[in-house]
Amino acid sequence: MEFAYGLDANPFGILFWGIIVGYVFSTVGAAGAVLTFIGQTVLFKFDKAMIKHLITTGMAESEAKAAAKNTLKVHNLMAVIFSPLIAVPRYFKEKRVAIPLALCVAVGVVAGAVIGPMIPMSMKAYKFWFGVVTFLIGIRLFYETTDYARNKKQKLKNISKKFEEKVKELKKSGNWDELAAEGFKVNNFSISGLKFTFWGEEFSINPMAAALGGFFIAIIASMFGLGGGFLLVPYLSSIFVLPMFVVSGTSITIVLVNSVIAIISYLAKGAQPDLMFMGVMLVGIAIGSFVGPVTQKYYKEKYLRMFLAAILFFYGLRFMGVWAALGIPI
Amino acid sequence: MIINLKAALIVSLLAFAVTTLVVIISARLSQQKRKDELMAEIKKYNQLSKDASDVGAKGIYAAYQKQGNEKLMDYFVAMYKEAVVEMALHVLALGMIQRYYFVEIIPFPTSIWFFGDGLGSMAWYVISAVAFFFAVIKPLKPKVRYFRPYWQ
Repeated sequence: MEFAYGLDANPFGILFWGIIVGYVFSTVGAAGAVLTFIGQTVLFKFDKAMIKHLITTGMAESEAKAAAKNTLKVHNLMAVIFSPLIAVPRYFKEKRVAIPLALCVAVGVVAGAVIGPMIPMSMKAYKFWFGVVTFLIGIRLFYETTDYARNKKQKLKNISKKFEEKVKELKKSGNWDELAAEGFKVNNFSISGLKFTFWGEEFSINPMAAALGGFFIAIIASMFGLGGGFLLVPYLSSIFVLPMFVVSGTSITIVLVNSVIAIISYLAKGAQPDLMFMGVMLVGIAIGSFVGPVTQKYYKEKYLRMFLAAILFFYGLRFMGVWAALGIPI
Repeated sequence: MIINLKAALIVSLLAFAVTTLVVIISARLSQQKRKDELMAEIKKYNQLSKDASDVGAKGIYAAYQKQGNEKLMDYFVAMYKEAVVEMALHVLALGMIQRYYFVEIIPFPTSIWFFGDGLGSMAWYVISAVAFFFAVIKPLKPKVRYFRPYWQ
């Protein structure tokens, strides 16, 4: 079947790859964007077909390459944007977004998401850096399968359980306050300090630092066609030491802002997303994400992680050009 | 202003059909229950880490934060599953329009920034789907069982 921009591919092949992506993402909880990228570039050669097609329509080779690269990024962002698009209105309705914090970070994110797509990067460089990211995710997944990491996780759970039981006892005696869900309230705001109450707890942050962090995260995320959640969540929880219920709603709101601006920027720069291709893949992802947890009980998740880590190592090195440099024709 | 009525009708009918189908499927596959369970666990870990912080137990605070992080990741996955079900068929329908029925429905007298020379079939699809959802599906939700999550 011929898709837009000259791609000739079997839609069942794309659907099948989508099922694999959804399956892996729903069971392992990682590598969704990376596998989508591998499908587009390695299996279906979407970028090459698009470059060839655009050149035949009279476009210069450099322009065609830039359009194909930007289209890949928009495809990645499209796969990312759906959950924020659905979740953010619900989060606002349920008062789960720390609006003062989100606004501070969003100021930097807007600037970063506009500047990120402007930074020149060739298709080769884009693939190389994507390879680095792929390789690093592979290392992380492999680490999670080791006995050391698994024991560490178990140890944490045991310590937490003991403490939880102790707290329960103390709460029964009436010594602990309950968390109150009452939305947010700004207590004090200046350039150097923002104090706000969210769900009964007071937080104090530096708005300039929040905006600056958002700026750099948005530059990196938009350059690679990513939402930025993988950087925002540790940034908000580690640097600002914010609890999870603040981080979840706030980070997803910021991811939405970043993704929307980056998509508009890339469309303005000549990206031409193929919605039919993405639609077929997304239907596959939807099927795979529901099949995954149902079949999970029939095998050890550790082996799926190890297998995925091996694939990510392999493709990470391929995108970085390591196999080619070693003269291995893969 | 001349409206391409035939195209508008075809695209609107497609939008109505896909929106109805998506609402029925996502109600069957709703992740709300799972998300509520996970949010309750996240809140629990948050409260426990706060308690640990209050008594100066830094190691236990970090342990709870880490477990809260893991639950948050599960929450994001559940959210993604829900969202991809709600959006995949719409993207596929938009892809079909992009490939086979890319026509102008309302031409503008002058070019407008971002929209161009007119309102195309893809933008018309989005407007029709959103309007149909809020005007028809939402009011019918309490009355039609198939539009509500399976446990309600």
